[in-house]
Amino acid sequence: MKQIETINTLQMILLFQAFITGSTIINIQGPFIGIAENGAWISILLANGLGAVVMMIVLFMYERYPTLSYVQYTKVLMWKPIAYLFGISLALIVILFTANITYGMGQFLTTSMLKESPLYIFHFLIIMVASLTVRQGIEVMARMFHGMLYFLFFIILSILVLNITHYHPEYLQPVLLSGWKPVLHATYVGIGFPYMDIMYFAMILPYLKREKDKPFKRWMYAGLLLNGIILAVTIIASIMVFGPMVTYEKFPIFQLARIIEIGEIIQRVESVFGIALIIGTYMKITMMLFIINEIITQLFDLSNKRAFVFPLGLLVYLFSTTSFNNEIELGESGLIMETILAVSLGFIPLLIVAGRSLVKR
Amino acid sequence: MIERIIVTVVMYLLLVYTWFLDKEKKNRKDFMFYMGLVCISGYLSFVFISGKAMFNLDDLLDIPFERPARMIFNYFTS
Repeated sequence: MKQIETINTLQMILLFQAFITGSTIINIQGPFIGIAENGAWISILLANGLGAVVMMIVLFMYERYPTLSYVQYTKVLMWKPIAYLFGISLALIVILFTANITYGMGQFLTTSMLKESPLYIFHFLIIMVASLTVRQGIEVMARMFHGMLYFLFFIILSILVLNITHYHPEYLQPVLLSGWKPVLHATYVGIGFPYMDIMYFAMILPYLKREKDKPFKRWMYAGLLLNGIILAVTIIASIMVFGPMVTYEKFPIFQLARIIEIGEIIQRVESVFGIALIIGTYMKITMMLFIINEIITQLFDLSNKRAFVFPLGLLVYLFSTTSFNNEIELGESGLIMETILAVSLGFIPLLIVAGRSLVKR
Repeated sequence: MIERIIVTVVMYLLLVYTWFLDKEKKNRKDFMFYMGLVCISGYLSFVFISGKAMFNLDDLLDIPFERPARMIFNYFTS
């Protein structure tokens, strides 16, 4: 990890896409369809729209303080104890959410592929690899994730295309079987995960090498919209294949990969597709760990960023193995707690800081 | 339990290895903070090895936020 690192506009946009699509591509369909049933795709698009509001504030602050991260401009704008309070609360929620994502990935592996293996082995391996990647710095991450993201999108596209014979568009009806309330409920969940994550990305933005001729903001919004469309399409595809039974599937996208059968040539390819889905989660965990490291080192003015990657990785690993005793607790944390925590400890402080920057000219 | 202990030992060995890699670059403040993180990890390692449900980060955040979160959840599911 070099002390001064920069990445170009394309790399930043691809990092953002990896960050926002990463783990959601395996985790979001199940809970969303479970809550909103056939209206889940509307929920994801509504949540995506609200995510654009979060992005608007983040980019507004970035325009004002292009060389500072969220923690740094909070320290500049706010009274010091308040800045510390905001920084610590942000660190706590990002650590908790990274532990959630890690547990979700372990759960995906133990429920779909490696059923006899203990969860903590997967947590250990992914956190170790993520920590090693974070130690190499954002430039290496940007270069690595560039290729991985294309691979991930190729696999998602393949899953959708190779299932084309299984689609039943009539399963999409009725869209609002129980009215708007479940749709709004899923939207509420979607605000917490994945769309409040945009706020954490404010810790990475100062690494962008400013290129005046490149329309950075426009591409960030386009990236966010693309994410909403991808997630909505995977939800629609899951509903069209499994119909009402989709609500019983924990990871519908993986089940879509499992049922692919083209003659006797392409079948039982779920392991290959599973690898791509794990790569998505790996990218997300790596970037979350990078963000945690940035928050902690900038908040407490620690001199050597690199030295804190492993202790923080260890902390996330241990939280992921000890915070939840079973998947019901994880579900409660994700569906009930995550949004209120992200809004109260992440978004409201961001609003206060943005308001303060408007007043303090 | 044995497997958990082995994983924990491997984790701390990795931590020691990276500690030596970055040894020269740490000042006193960094050192204190590093040790603080290791102490929290020590408590969590004990929770992990013992396999018991003990006070954790999610319990800490549940204290102020669980009630309003459940109220919102009940509103949507009622």
